[in-house]
Amino acid sequence: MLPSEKDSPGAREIHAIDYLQTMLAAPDIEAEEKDFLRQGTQWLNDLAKKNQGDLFVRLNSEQKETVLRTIEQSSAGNRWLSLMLTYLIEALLADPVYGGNYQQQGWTWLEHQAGFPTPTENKMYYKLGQPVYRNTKA
Amino acid sequence: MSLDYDVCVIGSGAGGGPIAYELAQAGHSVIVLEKGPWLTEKDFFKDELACCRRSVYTPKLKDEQHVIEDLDSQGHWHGEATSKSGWDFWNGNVVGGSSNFMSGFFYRIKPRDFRLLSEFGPIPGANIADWPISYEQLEPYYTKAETEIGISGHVHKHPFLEPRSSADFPYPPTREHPISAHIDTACQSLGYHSLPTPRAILSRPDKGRRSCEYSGYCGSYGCSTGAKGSSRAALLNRAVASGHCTVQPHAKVYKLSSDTTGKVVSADYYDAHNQAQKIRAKIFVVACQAIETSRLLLASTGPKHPHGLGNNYQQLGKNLLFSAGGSGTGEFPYDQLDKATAESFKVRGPFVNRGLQDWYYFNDKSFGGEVKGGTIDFLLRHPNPIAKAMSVKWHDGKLVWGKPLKRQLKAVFTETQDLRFEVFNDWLPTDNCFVSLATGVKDRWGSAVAKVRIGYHPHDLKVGRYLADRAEQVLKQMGAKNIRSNVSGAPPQNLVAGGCRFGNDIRSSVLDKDCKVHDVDNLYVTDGSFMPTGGSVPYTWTIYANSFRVADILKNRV
Repeated sequence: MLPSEKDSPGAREIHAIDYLQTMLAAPDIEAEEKDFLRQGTQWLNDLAKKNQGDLFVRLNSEQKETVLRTIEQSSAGNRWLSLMLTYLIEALLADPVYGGNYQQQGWTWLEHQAGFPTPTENKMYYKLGQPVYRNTKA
Repeated sequence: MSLDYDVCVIGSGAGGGPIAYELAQAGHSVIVLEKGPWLTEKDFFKDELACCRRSVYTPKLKDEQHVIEDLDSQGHWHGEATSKSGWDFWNGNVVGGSSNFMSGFFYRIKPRDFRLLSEFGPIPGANIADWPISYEQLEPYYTKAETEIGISGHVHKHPFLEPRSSADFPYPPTREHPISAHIDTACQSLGYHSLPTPRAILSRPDKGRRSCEYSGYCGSYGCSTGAKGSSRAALLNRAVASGHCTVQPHAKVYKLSSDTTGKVVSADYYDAHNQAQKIRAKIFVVACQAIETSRLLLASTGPKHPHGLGNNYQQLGKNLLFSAGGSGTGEFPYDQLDKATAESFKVRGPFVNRGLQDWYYFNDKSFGGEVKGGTIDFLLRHPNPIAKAMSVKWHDGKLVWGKPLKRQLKAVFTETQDLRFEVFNDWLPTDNCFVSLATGVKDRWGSAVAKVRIGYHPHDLKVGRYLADRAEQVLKQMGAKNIRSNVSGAPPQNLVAGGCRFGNDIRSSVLDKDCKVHDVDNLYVTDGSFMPTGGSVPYTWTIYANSFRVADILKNRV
């Protein structure tokens, strides 16, 4: 969904997978959403095998596009693609501390001037001022 | 009965800060109860996920939410829980409240705003009322806020300039973006008075706070230098340093208990461990932002207040205000500018800081005479990159990915600068905009959430459109392309006031002119809830000023 090109980074170069792993481990994101993301990859591969004869990653770009456009037709598929695209856009442009935007390649490609200061690992958003939800009394 | 504190303040934002600061400085014991965490400059980064894409400074909607009542297509009021709609009405539940995240466009309201009914007459369907105090009574406190909060700017003479007791602002204006000079040139040729926008941002270090470092990310972000005049940076830190003020974060007040005489005896709250606690004090001050303030008082029933504190005449929660108007945009494609201008438009960091008040009041035959208008403010498109990229995620109802997405991204990021404007005009108070308690929707502590009916008056749209058309003229004069604007009755949830209007008559108001609840001897409200009408500017400076005014009244009482 974000192909690598000669003059611009793709999902691979920005380490989109690392970003997704961060979010799949983030404590604030609902388990339902994480399950939905994982299940979607399963549907994608099932459909790729059924219609194109192989796992999604092994297809050529034309076959991939056909599979994605098929998935887009169903409402669940559309929802999954939309969510995936949102995470992909975040992976491209969120602070590199979250694992994506590797070496600021997303910002550099789009000539984006980031603000400062940028977050450190111990100040990632889900570590800030976490409210206490549990009753800690015995 | 022993009392824990002289004053208990509920809510730590712009309404609560001045009370805590002033009374602690005067040597009274103060506690501030804040629902959210206590973040500081060391926790604020230019992290778009933290500021704008996750619920970090506000509750998750499944834990705490609102029910928003809007007209459906059949013309009936229909309530929808925000956990379903995703329309988030929270604005910053942390120490310092939403003042941490404001842009800090600071305007005073003007003398005639205090007498809107007498000056401009009634409008059918609107509950317009004069204020029980005058501009002259509030003016010293607007001035005080300039120094205590740190407001930078430069007084520029214009037809609607309000009277000032000091010649100019205590801090010079913040640095300006190169595009501001182009706005000035365009306004000059149109005969408009472009004005430097006062900002609650320090342009030089003072009172232990650093000055602005011009990162270019301000609105929606917590300030990492302390330059932004949040209640926390400007007031609460100093209140705590006095040794007389305690700030208690993670303290969610769910009820004010009152006795058989009708006085408030305790603020009842859940602490960080969800244990119920009580604070007893002589005086209670509520400042939870308008919607939550009305909700808390409605939930605080007692022997003398069976319908909620201050609701014996069914006025509580009524006449809620947002800010009417809208916004617009014009594009400046770099390839249509000379190289030097294009490069100067790409600069990030300094502020646009330009506004127009030429139509704060205006005479137009389509309105049948003189009417109340409003304010226009110019700003660059917010630099948040994920938000910008999300704007090209869909095209004609279909998702965009692959190479087409990449071409769209490249264009939206590198080909134009967008100059935006925002219109602020009065959100007329009506019977269709109010707060009540929702039935069947509760927060994570089991309390009924606020239900908010968000009806607007059609007059607001007519005025907003008039102003947006003038702002579009400026963009056109500047040579902008693809100019468009949107004026609607959808409320901006971050500009909210009213619900406990102040007045002289208990039958038509909740608070007296001192912002004390009419029939409760020791309960005050100092956020934007007191405002019977909103003026046509963002509210924060007026909230600060009024809270300083009430602090003076309380100093003589405690």
